[in-house]
Amino acid sequence: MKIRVQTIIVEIGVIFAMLLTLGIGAYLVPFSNEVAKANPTITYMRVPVLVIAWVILACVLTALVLAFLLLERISKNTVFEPQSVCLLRGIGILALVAIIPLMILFFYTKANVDGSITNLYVILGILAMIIVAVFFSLIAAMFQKAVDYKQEVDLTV
Amino acid sequence: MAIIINLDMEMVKQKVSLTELSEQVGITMSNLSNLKTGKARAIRFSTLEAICEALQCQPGDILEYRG
Repeated sequence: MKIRVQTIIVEIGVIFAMLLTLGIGAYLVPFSNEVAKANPTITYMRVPVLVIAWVILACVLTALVLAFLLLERISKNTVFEPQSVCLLRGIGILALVAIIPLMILFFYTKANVDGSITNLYVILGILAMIIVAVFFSLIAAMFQKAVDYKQEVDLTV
Repeated sequence: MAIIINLDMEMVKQKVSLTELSEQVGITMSNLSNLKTGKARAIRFSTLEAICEALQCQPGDILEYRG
């Protein structure tokens, strides 16, 4: 019962994060217009950077959906199954995929703007994504072991 | 797997059905079916003992090693 309540609370948090991600995605359009107006010399960068940001947000949103599916499995007591390992691996892979648009953003900004502070945040973002990818890959590997042990116990007659 | 379970042969010899054996041994039909079909990964000594007692046989009659 306690785990069920905890899972529901985390699920609500994940749904809130999903809505927040969608909200940020929508807010990026007027925000990019404001930035373009404030910096007319780099207006041409608005659309490419906007697309890159949406790709990153899509990765985050998909990872949140996978996390939600995993939480559903926890609440249904079917967490120690191979599908859960796939979900964890999926989150790790999405973190790795998110590095690609971040790298593109880094080089695009470096090529067009001299001494941009944005690139510092992009580097931090890349580091964060690497840590997330490694963390989830480790968790998935450990989970795989747990699933193997559980199957061994379940298939002991 | 190199260990072969010959439970079905012993059951035919003793003319015991899966339901009867599961009742005598005290394990579920699904577990017994797992054992019969070779899906089981391990067998407890207590289960083996109960099966041998129910089928009046030796562990070697049920388990066979094929290299």
